[in-house]
Amino acid sequence: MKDKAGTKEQLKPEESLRKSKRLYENLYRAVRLMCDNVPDLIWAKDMGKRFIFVNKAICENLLNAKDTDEPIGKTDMYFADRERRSHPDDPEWHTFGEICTDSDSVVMKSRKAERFDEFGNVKGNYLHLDVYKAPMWDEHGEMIGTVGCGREVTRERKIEEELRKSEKRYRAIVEDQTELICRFLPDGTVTFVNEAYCRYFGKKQEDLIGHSFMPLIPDEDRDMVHQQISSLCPKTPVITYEHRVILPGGKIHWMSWRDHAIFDDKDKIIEFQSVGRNITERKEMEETLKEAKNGLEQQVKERTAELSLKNEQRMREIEELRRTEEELHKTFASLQVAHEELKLAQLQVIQAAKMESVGILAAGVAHEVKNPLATIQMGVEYLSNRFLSIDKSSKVVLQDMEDAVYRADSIVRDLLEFSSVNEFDFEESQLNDIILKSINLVKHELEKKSIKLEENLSRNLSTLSFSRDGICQVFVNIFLNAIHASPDGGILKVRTLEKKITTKDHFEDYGRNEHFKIGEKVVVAEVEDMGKGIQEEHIMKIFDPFFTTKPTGEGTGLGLTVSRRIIESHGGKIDIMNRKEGGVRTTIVFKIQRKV
Amino acid sequence: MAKKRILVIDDEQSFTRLVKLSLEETGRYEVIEENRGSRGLSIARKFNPDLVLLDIAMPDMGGGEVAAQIKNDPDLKDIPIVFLTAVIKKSEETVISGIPYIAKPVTLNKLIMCIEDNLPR
Repeated sequence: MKDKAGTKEQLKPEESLRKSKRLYENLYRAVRLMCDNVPDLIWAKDMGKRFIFVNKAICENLLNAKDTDEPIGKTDMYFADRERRSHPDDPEWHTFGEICTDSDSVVMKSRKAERFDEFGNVKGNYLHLDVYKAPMWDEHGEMIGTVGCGREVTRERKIEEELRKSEKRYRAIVEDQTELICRFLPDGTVTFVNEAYCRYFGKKQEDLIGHSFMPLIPDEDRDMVHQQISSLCPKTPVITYEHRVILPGGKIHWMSWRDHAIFDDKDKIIEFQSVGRNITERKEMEETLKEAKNGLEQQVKERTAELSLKNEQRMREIEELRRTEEELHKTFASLQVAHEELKLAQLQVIQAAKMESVGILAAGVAHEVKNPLATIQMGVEYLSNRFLSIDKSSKVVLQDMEDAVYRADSIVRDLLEFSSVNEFDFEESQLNDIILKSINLVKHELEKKSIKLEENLSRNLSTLSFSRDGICQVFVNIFLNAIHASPDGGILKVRTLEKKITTKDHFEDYGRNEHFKIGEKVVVAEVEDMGKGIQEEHIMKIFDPFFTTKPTGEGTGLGLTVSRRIIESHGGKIDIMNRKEGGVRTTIVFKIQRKV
Repeated sequence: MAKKRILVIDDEQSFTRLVKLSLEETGRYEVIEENRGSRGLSIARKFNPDLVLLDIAMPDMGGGEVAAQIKNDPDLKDIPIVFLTAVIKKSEETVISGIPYIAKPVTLNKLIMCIEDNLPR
């Protein structure tokens, strides 16, 4: 511009100097303005490390100089010392100074531009400067000083430092993890692994990073892993799953992985971060537990089966026991019945034994008596025949003797009959006919004692199988007893009827036993007298053999015994009891349906 | 008419004597008595009777056995036997088995009727 304004005329030296000075001053003002207008610290020093130029920033931020002129000709240490003196009790008030001169020396020695980190306390605060220093040369190439500029990076360095610390800390955390940490790309290529990961797989970091992790997984689990990581999306960016891994030496371990997908702006997965835990022990425990559980279940199953078998068996045993008990009850009941029957049978056996001995006795007696009777019989006849013309009284005597023989023979015959009642001949007969025949036989006796007979014989009696002689003998016996018991006469009632056994009959009247069933058809004969009855103490003995209340010679004591045997041989019952009204009632009951 | 020869075997001597007296009194019978059953067979052989009256109950040998001996003897087996017995029970009939019997005591008439019924014609 000056060239444009000026002409090509030569300037005068003073003019030129004045122009040059003005140019210089303008330039200086521009430089000063620029330097004072930047936040960075700017300075220049001579070879004695004395400032020859400073900007505002260094005065304010480092030297604490009152203006940009004050540091000229002075060193860093001048200001450092001044600052330190101002706070003699605080060694940390200002620690900057030496470091600046040291770096000056370095540059002067190396003779080239260098960069320094300079830091220390200024006014009690930490100051960190990123310093660029360079040697300053004159036109002859002689070093005449140094220039420098420093940018305050306290905050940045602090942040960097903290970042570094933080990263170190996090790295330490990551590296100290026993958990495996890795990052990998969607194609499986590993981008990061921690120390634990490397240790675990026995590989170096560089062998892992840049390669797929898939070869570490057994073939059979790979599809599953692939499916798991493919399922992640922004809505469910995290997944946990378990799979097996192959360790060096081929050992198989179980891992649990928690994968976290990282998405880009378009929700596309760019990477996965994955944290894994060795769960082999847990898996093995689970497996052991599972086996134990299975074993237990099996045991429980077997035991249950065993128990249910035993239970079944027990149930069967209980059922059997119950049945046995039932059987026992039945057996007991039937034993009781049998016992009753036995008692009865025993009585009968005793009775039979008595009868037996009586029978033997009777046979002996018969023999011993009948032989002499035979002699007497023959003798009486012989004498009767021989003395046909003997006197009348002798004839009577002989006749009496014959009668006596007959009577004696009758008694012996009774005895024999008594011991051989079972040898009767049975024939179908009407009970009424037999009774009438018996009445006929005792008619004479009845008339003699003035006893009136009342017959009430049913016309509709069934015909039964009877031993006519035996039953006749029984009724004669009963009638004779009645007649004997009625010395003052009276009425003898004879009644026959056919009926069904009633409950009352069953339990009260006919022997109070089970001889007759309720509803069973029977033929009944009743004989009632109005005599003196039977003494109570005798009533149990009336059927006993040889029991008699008659004077000696009038009764054998066998009448009722024989009678009962005869009735029993017919399957019937005979009962004799005192009537309330006086006298005796004899009841004889025959079954119509009789066992043959 | 020849007298019928009757052998009566009974241990009761008073009875056999009266049988002999009573039967021989009629004039139709000749009676031999024997009181021991064990001698029955030999006396029967010796005497060779038309009929034997035989007591059943005898102390040394029973009438049943005597009857068996007689029935087993080829010479005597056709001689009719009539048992005399003091004790007649139905059970005894099986022992007697078909042989006629008379129950003691017996009247003379009955005895003669029985003998006559059983003598061979």
